[in-house]
Amino acid sequence: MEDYKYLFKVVLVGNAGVGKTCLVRKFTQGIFPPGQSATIGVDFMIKTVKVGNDKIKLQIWDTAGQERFRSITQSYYRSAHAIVLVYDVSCQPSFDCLPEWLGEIESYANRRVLKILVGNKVDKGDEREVPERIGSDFSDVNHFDYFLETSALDATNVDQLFEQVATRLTNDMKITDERVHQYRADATNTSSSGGPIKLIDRAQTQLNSCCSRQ
Amino acid sequence: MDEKLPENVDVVVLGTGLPEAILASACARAGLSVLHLDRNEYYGGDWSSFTMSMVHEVNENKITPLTTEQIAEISKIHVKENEKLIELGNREVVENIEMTWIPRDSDEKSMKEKLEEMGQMRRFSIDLVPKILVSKGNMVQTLCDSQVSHYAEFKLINRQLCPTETKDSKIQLNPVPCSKGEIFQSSVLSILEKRALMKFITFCTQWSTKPSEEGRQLLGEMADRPFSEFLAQMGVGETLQSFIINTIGILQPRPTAMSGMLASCEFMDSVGHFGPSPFLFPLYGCGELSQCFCRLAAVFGSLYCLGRPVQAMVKEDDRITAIIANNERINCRHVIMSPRFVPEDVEIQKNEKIERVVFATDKSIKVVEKEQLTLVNLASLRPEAAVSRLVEVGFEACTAPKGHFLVHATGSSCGGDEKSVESIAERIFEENEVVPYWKMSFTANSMKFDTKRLGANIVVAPPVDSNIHYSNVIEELEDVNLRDFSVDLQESDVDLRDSIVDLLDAGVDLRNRSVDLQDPGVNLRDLVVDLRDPGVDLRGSDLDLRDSDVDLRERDPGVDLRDPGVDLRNFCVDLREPGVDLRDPSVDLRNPGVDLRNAGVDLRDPSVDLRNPGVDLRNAGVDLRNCRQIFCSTWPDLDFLPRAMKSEEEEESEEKSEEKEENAEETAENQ
Repeated sequence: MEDYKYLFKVVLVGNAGVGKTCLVRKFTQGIFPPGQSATIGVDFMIKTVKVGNDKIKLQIWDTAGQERFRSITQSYYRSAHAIVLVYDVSCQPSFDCLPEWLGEIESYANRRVLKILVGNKVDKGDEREVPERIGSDFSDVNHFDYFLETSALDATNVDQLFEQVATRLTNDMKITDERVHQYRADATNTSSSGGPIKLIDRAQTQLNSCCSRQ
Repeated sequence: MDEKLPENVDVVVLGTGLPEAILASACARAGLSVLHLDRNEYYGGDWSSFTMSMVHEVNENKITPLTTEQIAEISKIHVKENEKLIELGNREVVENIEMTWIPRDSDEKSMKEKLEEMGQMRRFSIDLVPKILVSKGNMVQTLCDSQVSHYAEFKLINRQLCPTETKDSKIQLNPVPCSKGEIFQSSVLSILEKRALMKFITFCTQWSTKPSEEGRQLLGEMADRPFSEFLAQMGVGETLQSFIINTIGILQPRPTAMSGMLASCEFMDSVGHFGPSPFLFPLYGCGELSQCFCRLAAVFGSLYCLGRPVQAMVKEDDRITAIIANNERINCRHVIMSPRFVPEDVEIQKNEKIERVVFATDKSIKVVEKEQLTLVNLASLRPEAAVSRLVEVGFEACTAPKGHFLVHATGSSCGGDEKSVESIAERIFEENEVVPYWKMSFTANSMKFDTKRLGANIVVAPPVDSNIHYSNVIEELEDVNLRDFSVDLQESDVDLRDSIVDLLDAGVDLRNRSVDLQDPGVNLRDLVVDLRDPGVDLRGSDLDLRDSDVDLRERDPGVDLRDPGVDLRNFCVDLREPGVDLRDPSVDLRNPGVDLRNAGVDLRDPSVDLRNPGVDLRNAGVDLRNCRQIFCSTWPDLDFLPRAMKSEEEEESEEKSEEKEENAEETAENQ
C-alpha cells in the first residue's frame, strides 16, 4: 500500500524560542518562518528521506507551545523513536534548563529512545554564549546519541540533523526487532496480531475500500 | 520560566480533567482564545493516572484557603468598585486516600525496594478513574472526529470474566464468549444454553434495527420490568440470565427490559469493530485521554499553565469578569471549571460516593498463556449495589512493569464490609493464589451542583462517575455547551460574529462530525477544493511572500512545491484551521496569486498534479493516514455551522476579506 519502509516519530523539546519550529519548517518545507508567531494548528510535519535504498518517513512533532510554562503532556513523549533536545547557543538560560528537560525525558520517554542534543542559532556568531565544547561535553556526560550545532536561518546542519536521526533509527530498527510496534508499513495487520490499536485504522480501511472501488 | 499569564482571554478553563480538556479543545478549535490552568503540576486532575512514585505525592498537594488578609490584598489590587471577589473552592473529589505496601513473607527484599532498584516505579500508570471505551460509542467517535485519536493508542479488553459462586462458596471466573465461534467452543454453557443464547442474539440483531418506539412496543408490558423477568419470559434459564445481564448487558447496571436490550445491542454492535471484543482500553491508562485533548487544544493555540495557584473569581452582576491566579488578574468572558473549583458555599445537589481500591500484583487473577486485559463484572455477587467491577490491566496496557498487574475495583457502596468490592477482590485473590503487594483505597465523590446562582457564564464540567464507559460524560458535555452558552447569547447583546457562536457550534459539532468520517466521498471533493487554493497554505505557513528580502527563486523553494507528495501532507497541517486565518486581519486574502507567480512556481499550471487528486490518492505513495487529516480538517467549513448561520458567516467573512483588501491597498499606498 505505502511504499516507505519505516515511519519514525521524532519529537522536539526545549525552551520556548530556541527555534524548534524553525528547524522543522526549514527541514520539511525549506523555509525559515519570519516573526515570532506561535505555532497554531500544526501538529506534526512529515518528510520522507532516503537511507540507502529505503524510503524513511519522519513524522516530526512540535511542542504546540506547551513548553512555555513547562506543561508538556507526558503523552507527547510516548512512543517517540527519537527526541531532539534543542537549546539556543546564544541564550545561556536555554542551556541551563537542559537537565530539567532530561528529567522529563527520562520520566516519560521510552528508555531506548534516540536522544539528540542540538545547539541552534549558530548563525548568531557574535552573540554566542554557549561554546561548542560545553554543549558537546554535556552531550557526552548525559549519554546523548548525537550532538550537533545548527542554524535554521542559514540551514547549517539542518538536513544533516534529520538525516542522522533517520539513519540511526533505521540502522537500529534493522539490527533489532525488539522495538515491536506498528511502525512497519503493514500497519493494517496490527489489530489482528494484538498490537496497539490506532482508532484511525477504521477510517483508513473505509478510505481504502472507497478508493479501490473507483 | 515564570512568564506572565495573558491579561485577557475568551475562556479560562480551570482543571485539566477529561471533561475540561474536551471543552478546552472544542473552544480552541472554534477559534476562541483559551487559558487552561491547573493547580496541580500534572495533567488530568481527578481523572489522572499516576506512576507509583507520583501517586504517593498526591495526598500532599493540599491547598489552604485564603486568609482574610490575602483576600483584602487581592481585592485591593484587582477588584473594581462594582465587582465582588469570590474565592474558589478546593472540593474533596478524591478523599480518604490510603496507600500501603503489603509485606509478603516469601520476599527476601520488599517489592518496593525491588521495583525501585530496577527503576520500575515509573512504569506504573495508576488510574483514578479506570473506564473502558465502547468501540462504537460516542467517546471513540469524539476521539476520531477531533483527531485526538492521533495521540493515543488502545488495546482491546480481550477477556471478560463472569464470576459465579459455586456450591462450596468459591468464586469461579468463567471466560465470556463474545463471538459466535467462541459461544460454540465455550465449555461453560450447556448446549441448550448455547441455543438459547444464539436465539437471544438473533433477537437482539433484529430488535436493534427497529426504531425505539417500535422496539418498546415489541417488548410490550415487559419494557419497564427488570431485564431478568423479560429474559425468563423468553425461556432463558437462570444461569444464562445472569450471564447475559452481567456481560452482554454490562453497559447498563440493573437494567429494565428496555435499557437491557439497548445495552445488549450496543455491546453486540461494537463486537468485531476493532477486534473480537467490543471494548478498548487506552495504553498508559485512562489519564492519557485528558492529556491528548489538552494537546489538541494546545495545537490550536490554547495556553497551558500547570502548578499555579488559582485563587478566586471576580464577579460583576451575574457574570464572572475575571479569574485571579497567582495574584494576577485574567479577564475572561467564560469560565469552565471542574467540580473541584466550585466555591465552598455552593450547595451540593447530588453526591454519589464511589468506592475505589487499586491493587498491585505480580500474578493475574486468572493466568493464561498470553497476558490479557480483563474485565470482571461483580454485579451477580453484589446484587444490592449499582456498580461493582474489576479491571485488571498490566504490561500489555503499559500500566505496569512486565509481569505485574493493576487490579482496579470500582463499586458503589451498599453497606456491610464483607460485601465491599474490596473484600470480594480479596476473596478472588485468595482463591487464585494472588498476593497483592500494594494497595490504595479512596472514595471518589461524583458531585453535582446548583450552579445557576454562581454566574451566567460559568460551566461546571461533569464530575467523575462510576459508569464503566464515557457515554454520559460526552452526552453531558454536549448538553452543557448548548444550553448554557445559548442562554448567554440571548442575554448579552452579542453579534453573530462573536465567538460564542463558535463555541455553540463546537458543541453541535461533537455530534455532527460523524458525517465526515462515514462519507469520505464528500471529503475527497473537498480535498480538491482545498488544494486548488494554495493561497490558504501560504497564509497559514507564515511565509510572507511579499517580503522583498526573500528571493524565493534563489532559495529554491521549488523542491517542496513541486514534490506534491510532500506538499499535500504539509497542506493538511495548515488547512486544519482556516477560520483562524480568515479572522487574522494581517492576512492578504485576495492577493496571493501575484506572489506565487513571482516565486517562479506556477501553481496554475494545469500539469500540476494538484487538480487531479484522484491519481494521487490511489497512488501507492500517498499516505492515506495523512489524507484523512485533510478530510477531517475540512469540516469546520462545511458541516460546522447550521445552514442558516453558515450563509451569514460566509457573508461576513466575505465582507471582512473585502475590508482587508481595502486595508491592504491602503497600507500599500502608504508605503
